[in-house]
Amino acid sequence: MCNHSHEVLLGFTNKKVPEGTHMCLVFTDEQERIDSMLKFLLSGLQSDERVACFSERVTEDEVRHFFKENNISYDERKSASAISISGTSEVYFHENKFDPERMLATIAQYYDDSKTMGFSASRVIGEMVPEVEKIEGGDRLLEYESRITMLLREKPITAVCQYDANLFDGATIMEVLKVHPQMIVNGEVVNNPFFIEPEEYLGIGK
Amino acid sequence: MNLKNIWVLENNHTHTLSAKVLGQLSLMQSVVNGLPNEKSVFQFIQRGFQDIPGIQSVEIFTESFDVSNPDNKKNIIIKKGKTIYGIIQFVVSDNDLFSRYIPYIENFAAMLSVIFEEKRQKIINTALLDELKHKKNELETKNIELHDKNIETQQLNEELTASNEELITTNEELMATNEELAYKNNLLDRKSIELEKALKELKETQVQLIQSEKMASVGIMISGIAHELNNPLNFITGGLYAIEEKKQDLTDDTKSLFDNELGFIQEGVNRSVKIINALNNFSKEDKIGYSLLDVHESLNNCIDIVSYSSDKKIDFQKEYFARTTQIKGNDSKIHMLFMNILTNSTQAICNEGVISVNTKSDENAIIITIKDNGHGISQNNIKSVFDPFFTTKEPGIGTGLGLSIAYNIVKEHKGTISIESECGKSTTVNLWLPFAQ
Repeated sequence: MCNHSHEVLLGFTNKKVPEGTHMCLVFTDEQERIDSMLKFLLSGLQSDERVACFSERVTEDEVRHFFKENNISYDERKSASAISISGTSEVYFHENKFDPERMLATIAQYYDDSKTMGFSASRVIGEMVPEVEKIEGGDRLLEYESRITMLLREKPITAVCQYDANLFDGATIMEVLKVHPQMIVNGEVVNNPFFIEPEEYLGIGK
Repeated sequence: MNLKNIWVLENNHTHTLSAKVLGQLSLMQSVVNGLPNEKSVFQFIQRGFQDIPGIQSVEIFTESFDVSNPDNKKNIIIKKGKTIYGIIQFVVSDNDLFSRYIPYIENFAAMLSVIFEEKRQKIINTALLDELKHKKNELETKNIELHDKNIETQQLNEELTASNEELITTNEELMATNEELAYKNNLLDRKSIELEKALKELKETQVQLIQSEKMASVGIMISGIAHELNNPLNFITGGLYAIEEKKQDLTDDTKSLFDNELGFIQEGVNRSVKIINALNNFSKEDKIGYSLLDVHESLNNCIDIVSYSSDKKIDFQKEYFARTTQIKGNDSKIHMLFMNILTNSTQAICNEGVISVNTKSDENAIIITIKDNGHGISQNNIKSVFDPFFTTKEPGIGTGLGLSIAYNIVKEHKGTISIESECGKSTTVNLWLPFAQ
């Protein structure tokens, strides 16, 4: 469980969570996913955080339009490196394989750079795609998620992992729950009783 | 952060129940409602139930299941009413431990049945909705098609209306053209009639010309003959005169012996002279057109010619009124007029008959009546007697032009001609010729 004292707003709920909270969102409704994503990003920018989004299904224009309605200029924030929008495959499947170590290093660097740039905090929201099950290294997805939990203890990036229940089977969804300490249910963040601590899950001890 | 419980079941076993397991059941209840289908739910909960204390394994059956409960297995049926959605079969390793969670699992199963029923209903509703949407789209498409067809039909209607109007206009033009054509046809018909009439008149004129030429030729011939006959007649007349002179030297008895024969000779000469004079008069060229003519004289000339030229025994009875009967006319034509009528009268008489020629006058004209007691003319034919080429005579006798020429000559002289006839009895020709002014 996350023990950082600085709490952040998530945007799609009024409750605050400690920075570095690792959450999963299982969704079937695309609009629910987009709404929570945009609100999450906006909330971060409004709190002078550095924000990043990995998704194949969001466009800069959608983000730009949503931010404009909330009096934030996407282009200005982008120019200031406060926000980055990238495709899931572009970020996760470098050279067409899933490399957890590379991703963990990237995430850690992202946090360090954010601190250097003077941002109050940083957050990421990413949508995993079912292609990961077929790609080289894809079988290490849950290992990666569990190691993210460990990383976020040191590099407290508030992270939301989105999984589309229409694209992943029920068994995979349950396994995803086991590596996420918190879960977003009906817009609320709840402790996940299925969560297995990384040391136990990875069998590496604390 | 506190665990969010969906519900809390108060029972005696609460203190021995794992909060984590209860939390898991609670979380599964929240998550399964958002999973897309029954298969995904069963996959999810099968993994989720594996942390429940006292169980060895979990299997889920959605068909062909054995609902019996042997000792080491516990079947939890997911059903709503008569519909069984599936059976969760727990292979139990510790029945006592596991049994404490059974009420929660049964509650969970009941909730699942509600979720499944809603999902199935949603699927049905979605399918119905899709079908309705499809039907709506079909109807909208049909509507658009109908609308387009309507527009097309309207356009066609407008085109038809325009074509109709065009046709009406064309019809009106055709009718106007037809009227014009009819008018022109009428004109053509009238012209045709006029042409026919003109042709008829030309033919009549041609015939008259031919007749005139013939008559002129005849006249020339007659004139020649008359001239030739005059000489011998002069010789005979001279001889007679000489004989009369010499007869003075004879005794009365001897004189009386020659009186009859000399009388016959003189009469013959006189008659010959009269005939020659009449012929000369008939053949006289009219070089001056119209002139003052004596009708009685012309009548007499023609009667003489006709009577002498006919071998029938015809009595010409003349009754003229006593006064001058001058008309202004063409001498040749007047002679031809009388000749044609008298010739017809003569030809109408078989062997013996009477032709009476009467004249009288009114204030302005001479009225001539020529009547014969020949075979007459039927009422059917009498209306055609003045038509050119109309004849009741046998072929070769006459040209059928005599009375038509007579008619034209009378008209030229501003007169009138009419015929009355009684078939088998008589024919009367009435002439009215105005006096010279």
